[in-house]
Formats: sequence, structure tokens, C-alpha cells
Amino acid sequence: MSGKLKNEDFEEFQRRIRRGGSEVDESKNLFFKAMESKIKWTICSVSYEYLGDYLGLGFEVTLNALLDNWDSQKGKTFYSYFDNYVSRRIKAKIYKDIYKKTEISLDGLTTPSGEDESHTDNDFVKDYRELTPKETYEASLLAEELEETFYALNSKIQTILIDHYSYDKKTRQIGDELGISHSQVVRKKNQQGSDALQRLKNVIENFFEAQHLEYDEKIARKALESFLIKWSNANECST
Amino acid sequence: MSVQHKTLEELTVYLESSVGSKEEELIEEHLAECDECISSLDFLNSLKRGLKEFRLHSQTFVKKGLSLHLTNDEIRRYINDACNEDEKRRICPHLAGCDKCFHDVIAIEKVVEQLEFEEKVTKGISILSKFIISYPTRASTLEKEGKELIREAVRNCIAPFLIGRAFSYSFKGPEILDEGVGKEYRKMETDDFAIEIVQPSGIESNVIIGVLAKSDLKNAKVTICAEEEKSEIISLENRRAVINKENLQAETIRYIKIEKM
Repeated sequence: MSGKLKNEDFEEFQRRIRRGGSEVDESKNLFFKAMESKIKWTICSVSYEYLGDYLGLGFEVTLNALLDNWDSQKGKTFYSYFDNYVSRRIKAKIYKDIYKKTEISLDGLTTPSGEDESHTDNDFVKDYRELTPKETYEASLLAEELEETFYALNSKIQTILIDHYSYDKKTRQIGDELGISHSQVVRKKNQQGSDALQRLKNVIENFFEAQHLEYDEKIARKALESFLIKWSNANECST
Repeated sequence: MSVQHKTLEELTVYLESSVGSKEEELIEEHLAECDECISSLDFLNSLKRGLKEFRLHSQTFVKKGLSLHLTNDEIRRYINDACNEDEKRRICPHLAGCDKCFHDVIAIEKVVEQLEFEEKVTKGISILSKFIISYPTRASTLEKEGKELIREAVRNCIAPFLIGRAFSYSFKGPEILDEGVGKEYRKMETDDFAIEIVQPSGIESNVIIGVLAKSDLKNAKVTICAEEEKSEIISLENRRAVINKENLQAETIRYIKIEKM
């Protein structure tokens, strides 16, 4: 089976897999092969580092969607159902998983993508990784604005952000450290911490608006991932 | 589709929640249909990555000795949010890269917060005493709170020896009284009493506590708190009393409370 599949093909996968028996494995493999490229793009749009790690998760979510949720009678092609529903579900699960990871690893970058010889993982990675010089410049401008906003925050909020994000503490642990209950921390974060998060988020939105640019997640991500690093380099020179 | 977008706090709770919870399922139903909330997840994740990178980066500066440890004055000003932006640009990266200074700051913030809401003087003394024992080099960051607590304690007939040692100008000692005998001496006063502690250096498990009432009294109730509080009634002769305490070291006495009877 090659090329773009029709809805009837997906219906056939549904029937065979639901029915069980000896055809299940082969049908699943064909289904996965048909969806692999789309799933990879979805994963890459969240995390190019973990492409290899999340392929299994992507297959699982997509298969569940085919078997439990997609209904061809409702008129949507499986591809558009994937784009409008399944891909966001995959993204949400990946965001959640990455958020819990404590180490940042780049190991996945060099892993070839299995049997699909037409693409390597690096092809997917490349598109999401590389910024043009103009995009890099825009990311650096945005990073400067984020940096200024961060250093203008109240020091208690800075401490909470560093504790939560840099030291990987959950809100409950921060509450224990500060000797206040979880609900108090949540309330405190609602009042001040969330305001700080929202301020940082607004900086990004306002930046694109002021520059008359379309929101670009690559630029926003690059700026967020490096907005406090630049200063540390300057610190080395000045020390 | 629900048009109500999830707040950043709700999304943070989602990201931290355990897999397979009911809340997770509900929020994922919304996320599957909402680009804006997916974009917020991306924001939170990227912010976390940024602050993690910030930590890794800052750690190398601390390890190389290029980022100096925070002084007590800097910490106090930082906690009071009295630092200007330039100061914050030095302090924040150091906090992100130096576990020791960061934990000191958290511990100090905690004590400041606890003391702010603590109404019982003896509880406040315990909180501050514990901090001084655990973070002796950071004691001066809490000098303002310490002196306020001493004033409040003295008004309540309590002599907070451990805190007094760290902050009080009215605290005397420890000093060597008699080099031949090697006695250590410390003294504090409340509104109604003067209290002296003598620690003979040869017998370190014993202390002698001297009490002098400022007015004519026959009896007083003495409460000594080291690890725990112990009270007793003492008789005063010519306004004076001497209490011998075994298995007690002067250094461990957090406070002595003497009430008129």
C-alpha cells in the first residue's frame, strides 16, 4: 500500500483490527506506515529531540482514535480527523511527558527512523530546528524583551519561577519548602505567579503584534529557551 | 467545544498531574480542539526548558568561581525586593546555579514568612533559634526580625539567649569569667529580672542559672527551653535565686522565661 489512502482504506483497517485474529498485526503495520509521516511531523512540531521516543506514543494515540473515536459516517476523512483532533492529543501528551523529564537529551537526533527509508529523523528535525538569519534576529529581540520582563519581576516570584522551572519542583514541594499549604501556594501563584507567567506570555504576543508578524512558534520557542542565557555570558566577561 | 480557554495555572496542574487521572482526560478533550491552549502548553514547556538551560549555564559559572556567593546583605535586600535590576541580574543567575545560596534564600524567606504570621513569642523564638542553629552564617539576614523578637520577648519576661547571642546588644557573653576556672558567662535582662548563665568549662553538662528580681518578690516561675520547655517554681532570697541544672549546656538554651508570682 503506498500514497495517500482513502477513507475506505481506513474503514477497512478499522474493521480488521476490531475483528481481531491473524490480520491484526499486518493491518496495524500498514496503518502505522500510512500515518507515520504525519505523526512524525506532529512530534517534531513539539520536540525534535524526542522524535524516536514518541513515535510509539503517536501510534498508540492514533490507533485509539481510529478504533474508538473516528466515524467515517460523520464525513471527515481520517487525515483531516488526525489534523483537527488526534495531532493535538499527541502534542498534549508529549508536552506533559517532556515537562516531567528532568534531563534534556539530544540523543534522539541521530536515530534513523526505522524502515521508512525515504526520511530520516534528521529530515524532520532540520525543518523545525533551523532558523533563518532573520528569524534568529527576531528571536534575539524577543529574548531581550523577555529577559527585561523577567528581571523586573518581584524577587519572590523570581524565586518561585526558578524553584519550579529550574530546580524542577512541583507546586506542592514549593509549598512544603515555604512552610505553607498547597492551596496557599496555588492561591499565591494565582495572584502573583500566574500574573508573572501571563506577563511573559503577553510579551511574546505583543512582540509579534508590534512587529506586524504572524505568530511563529519556532521564534517564540527559541527566544524562551535562551532568554536568560545571554546575560550569563555577559556576566562572565564582566566578572 | 468549550470556548473557555484553560488558564496557565490549570495547564500547569495538568502538566504536573499523574497520567490517567479523570482531570487529565477532561482537559485533554479540550486540548484536542484548542490551538490556543496547545500554544500555552508550548509556552510553559519552552519556559521550563529555558529556565533549565539557565540553571545548567549558571552552574558552570558557579563551579568555575565566576559567580560569587551571595552576601547576607544581598540576600536580605533581594528578599525585600529592594534590589535594582542590575543587582537582580547578578543574583538571579547565581541562585539558579548555586544550590547552597538558593536553599539559604528559601530557608530565610520561610522564616520571614513564618515570623510575620506567628503571634506567640515563644514559638517565634523557636523558629528563629532553629534557623540560627541550622544556618549560623546566615543569621545576620534576620537581624531586624531577631531584634524585634528580643524586644517583644523581654516585654514578656522571656530572655531569648540563643537569639540574644546572635543579635542583641543587651546580651552579654559568652565570655571567660575566670581563666583559672574557665567559666563561661552570659547575661540577659527582661523588664522584671536579670538572668545570668554560668557554664563551668570543666563540667560542660552543667549550668548554673542566676536570677535577680528587680523588685521585691518571694517566688517566681521559671521556664527553661532547650530542646523542650521545663517549668519550676523557685524561691527568691533577697530577690536572688541560683538554679543548678544538670545535663544542660548553656549553648542549647533557647530562652528562659521568668514570671512573677
